[in-house]
Amino acid sequence: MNNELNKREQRAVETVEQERWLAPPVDVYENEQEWLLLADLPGVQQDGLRLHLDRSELLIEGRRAAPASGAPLAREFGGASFRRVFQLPSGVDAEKVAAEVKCGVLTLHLPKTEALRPRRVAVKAG
Amino acid sequence: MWTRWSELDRTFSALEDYRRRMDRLFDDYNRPIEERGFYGGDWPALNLYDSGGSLVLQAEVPGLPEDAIELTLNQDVLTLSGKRQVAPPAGYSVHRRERGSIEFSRSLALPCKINPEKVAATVKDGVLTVTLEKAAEAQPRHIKVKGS
Repeated sequence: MNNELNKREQRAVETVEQERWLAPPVDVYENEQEWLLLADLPGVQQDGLRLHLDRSELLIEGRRAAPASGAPLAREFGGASFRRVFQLPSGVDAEKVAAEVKCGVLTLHLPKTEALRPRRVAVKAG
Repeated sequence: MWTRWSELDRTFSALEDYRRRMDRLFDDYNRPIEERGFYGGDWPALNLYDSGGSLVLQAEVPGLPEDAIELTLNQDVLTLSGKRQVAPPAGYSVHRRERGSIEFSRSLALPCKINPEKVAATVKDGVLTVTLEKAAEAQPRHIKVKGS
């Protein structure tokens, strides 16, 4: 049985080297004005970040800057890029989306469209 | 009788093998094998490089300002400790929280003697880089090969 397993493994078709992706941890908050998304992207600079908003799908991609040089003695993280896709609720004002990366943390503001924002309704005495 | 038992044993060991492979599959889902280090899945993730004249330690510390990281060197044991505080911003409701607050402390025994006077640490884009110059006796030496 083991032999058979090994044989199968040897015969299996291998893929050409694929790019590796890691899903970064993410926080999502909401208030009356916007959704706020925070993601841990250590090693990603502003120019390594790519945000793509396609209708209601938000793609977050972060490429890391080159690691230190030298012979590795211990390796717990590599150069794999970050990637995560979110389905956004309808009502994000795509024109006003703002993002910044600071200290390896992405802050993404997704403002709500006017129609979604709460309005104060004045109550008049009759 | 004995042959039958060994047959059974083999079947079980094959099952065990399957189980291990499945476990590995799940464990490695997010992490390529070469990235699983000696220390397991502790926070922060560390890389240690030997660049000839010095050792270079890198740690992933997203969201940590420089004053939240404490580095101590005791003989050849380097300790990295600190606290990351992640509080939800005021006035927001929470949908998803994966970035936890964490208090961490990790020590590692350096593989060679270093010069404690020549240690430099910087943090950039959420990655801490500590450069530790090797002590004079640990520096690589060039040995000339002579013909006889």
